[in-house]
Amino acid sequence: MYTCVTCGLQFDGLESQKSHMKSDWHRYNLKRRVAQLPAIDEETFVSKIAALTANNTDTASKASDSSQTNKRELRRQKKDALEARKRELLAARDALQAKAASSQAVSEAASEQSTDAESQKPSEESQVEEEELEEALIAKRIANKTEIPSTTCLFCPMKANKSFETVEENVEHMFKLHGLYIPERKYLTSLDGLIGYLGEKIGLGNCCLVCSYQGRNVEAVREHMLRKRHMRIPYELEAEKLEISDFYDFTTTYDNVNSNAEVDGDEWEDVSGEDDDGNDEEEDFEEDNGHYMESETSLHLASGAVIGHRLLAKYYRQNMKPERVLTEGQGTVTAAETRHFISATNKLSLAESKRVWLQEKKHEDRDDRRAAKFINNQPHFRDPLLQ
Amino acid sequence: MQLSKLAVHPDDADILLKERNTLDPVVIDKYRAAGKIAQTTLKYIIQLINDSYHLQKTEQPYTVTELCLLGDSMLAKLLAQSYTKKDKVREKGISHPVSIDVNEYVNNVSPELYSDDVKTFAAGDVVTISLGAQIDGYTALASHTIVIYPPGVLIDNELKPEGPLLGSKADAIVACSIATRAVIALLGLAVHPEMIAWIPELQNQSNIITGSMIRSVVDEIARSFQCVVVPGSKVRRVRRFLAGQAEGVVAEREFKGVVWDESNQEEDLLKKGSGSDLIVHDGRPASSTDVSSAVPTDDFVVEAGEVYNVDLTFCGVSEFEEQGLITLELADEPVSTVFIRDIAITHALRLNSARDLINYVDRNCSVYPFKLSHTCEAFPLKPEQDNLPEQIAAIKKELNARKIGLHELTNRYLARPKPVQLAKHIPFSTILSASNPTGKHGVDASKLTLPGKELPLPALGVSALKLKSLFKFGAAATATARESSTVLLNSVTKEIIKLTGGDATARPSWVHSKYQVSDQVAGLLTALSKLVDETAEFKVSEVQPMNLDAGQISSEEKMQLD
Repeated sequence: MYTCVTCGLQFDGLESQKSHMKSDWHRYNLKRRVAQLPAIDEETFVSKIAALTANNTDTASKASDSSQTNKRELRRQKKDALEARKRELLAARDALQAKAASSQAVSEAASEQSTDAESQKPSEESQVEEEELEEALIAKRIANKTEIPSTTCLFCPMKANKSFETVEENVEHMFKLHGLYIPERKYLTSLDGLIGYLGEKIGLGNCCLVCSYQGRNVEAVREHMLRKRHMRIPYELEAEKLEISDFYDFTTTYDNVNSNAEVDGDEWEDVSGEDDDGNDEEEDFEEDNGHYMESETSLHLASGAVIGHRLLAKYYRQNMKPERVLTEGQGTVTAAETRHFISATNKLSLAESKRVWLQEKKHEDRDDRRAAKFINNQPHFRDPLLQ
Repeated sequence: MQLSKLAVHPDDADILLKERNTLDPVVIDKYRAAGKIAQTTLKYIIQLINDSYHLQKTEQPYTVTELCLLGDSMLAKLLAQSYTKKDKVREKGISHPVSIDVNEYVNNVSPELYSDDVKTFAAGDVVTISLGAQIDGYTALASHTIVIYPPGVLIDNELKPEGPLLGSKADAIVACSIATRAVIALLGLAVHPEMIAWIPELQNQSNIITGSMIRSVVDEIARSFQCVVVPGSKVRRVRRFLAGQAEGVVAEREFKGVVWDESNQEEDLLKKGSGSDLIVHDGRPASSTDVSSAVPTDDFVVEAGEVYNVDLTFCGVSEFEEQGLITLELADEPVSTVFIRDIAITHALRLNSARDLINYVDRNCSVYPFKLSHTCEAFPLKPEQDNLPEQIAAIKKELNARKIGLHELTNRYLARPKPVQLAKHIPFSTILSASNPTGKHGVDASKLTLPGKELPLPALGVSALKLKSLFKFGAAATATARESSTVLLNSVTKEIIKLTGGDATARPSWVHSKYQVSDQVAGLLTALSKLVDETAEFKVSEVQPMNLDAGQISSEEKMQLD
């Protein structure tokens, strides 16, 4: 029995099979099989051929008109396309570089590339472009701006349209629904200002309150914050506290601190002035409870007493000699003094001589040990020959 | 003992040693105030002695202890009244506790209440009163010698002594007062250098007053009165906080002054025998103890704008048959009661009382000597109150508690006792015939001496230790007379201000010496006295004591001490 497995056919004889195997239909089916497609019957194949040939005849007639120029033209077209593509790529790269420079992220790579590729391009131009780009960005942002008044919920999507009559109501809503907690409410001077500021951050800057996420528009940021539950005001680091410090007034607590321990208050200012980042370790006072100030290592009581941490016990325990303050009389006598006192100990020379003494003693001991070997400890004389 | 490395910045040292010593009106006022306090107290003590010994106004005569305590109380009281603003004057106080040296005693006899001996004076005693006050370090020191007379006779309704004191005691007193006057006049010439040319005896010098001139004048006066200038006498410059209170403890930079010691007597002796083959003293200090400018020499020029303390002690030697050396012996009795703090030394003290004491002394006594009674809470005594015996009892009780603390301080050399010394005469024959195997190498470490003066007899090579062993062959001097006066040479107003001393306060007692000034200095002395008395430009003023309150004195007469 003669068959074709590919096409699912049965033949009477070898000749017919062979002729089938040589046919285009079979070849087509083989290709389909490789492509894991089911085989098609002859009629479909014929119809497909017919459709193709109809198309081909159109293009073939055109091609046959200018068969000679065809190739050259094709090549030119290809070249044009390539050049266009190249230009596009370059433009894209320029834009990328400008962005990188403006954000000051990876300056090295950018500078390398710029020196490699466009050394002929003056740097001023790129700067101007950067500025323009920035301005464009800002303009885009402003154009894109969504006004979020302080009476509107910061997080609810626009279509929910959560607007309230007063800021308090709005804050209550945000607290209940989104868990927005406003820190240090006692010392807050301008709730309106704070919510307005946050609204601007979201509406204009399209920034997440908590993380560094920057959305394309307000909706994206709101979506991000809702999904990630980033609906709180960060209030831990120094910088974070400073960011919203305009809306707070802590002067009442300053008075308290100053009356108790003025120096501590000054220190606090110094620390915040030096460290812009506001490291956790560097923070002097974390809590202010009115009665005492707590820092990492000490507790400053209202009475002015300082309770130290036991970590530093060894320093507190040491009994330093107070520095001697000379009165004028003592100073005069000291200035007029010409007695030369031998310094009690010259530490270096003493250490040196001590080492020498130690070495001498060692040598002495060694000599003693060696000498001891030859000491006759026998109480009676015993002739070795008789043993 | 631990030596603390104290250091003062050179700039500060310059301010403290130079700038603060320029005599501007404020400084002069402070000096005057200190002088006034010292003068008043001196007058007060003299009055107390006169009242109780000469006029017999008190039932019992005052003892030396009581006089010292009352004098110190007076000083403290007057000091408390002057310069009361703490921000203007931080340090003021007693610059020398009242000490009363009788006869052969030379210095620092100022017994505390705990010593049991109730020493009083006898008729014919020569009594030296020394004291001092300082305000902001500007110091006035005073010493004056008076004579205790036997009960006198009434002349013109006034009790007067029967006659003058005679003998070698009188010689010393006369010589001392003459020498002090002469030296003050000489110092005054530094303010008026143009007048030096007027005096023919000084003409050969180039219109300056030097240390050697002062020494030669004093020595000549002493010689003509058969006296010896007792070792330890000096005419020295006084600076702020540097008035010689810590001599022997602190080696003072830029010491300026004439100092008499045993070597000068030795020099005299060797000069007399210069025809023989005795060694002639070269006048230089022993080479081993040469400490730059801290060593006193006579090669200095007295300059206007300085303050000088003329402190001369004389001892008559006419009663000693043999020629000998007048030297100072450390007295066993009475014990030292005046102490000077050595600020260069620190030590972690064990006793609480010692720590309290050192704190008190550092805070209140500045750099000047102190007595233990000054640190008591009941000090100063208030004689105007009726309960004086109770006050004294309270001081006595406190003293006993503080004695132990003081003991630790002295053991650790934080405070050094000022030696109580008496003048002793050792015949030269004894010194020269004694065997001296160690030569000049035996240094007496316990003796407080000025730098460069450690060896008493440098030419003979007799050390202090050797001399100490020869004291038993000597005899105590009959009496020493001491006059001390602080003189301020104001260069601006061309005025000489006697802060202490002077006839108004320290009037010489009635004494008569059979000697008179020798011809060598007689001309100079008359010229000087003429200058002081008759020349209008040569202005000498004395700081006058305050009027002692009559009521206060009378109340003290009534009191029952002991």
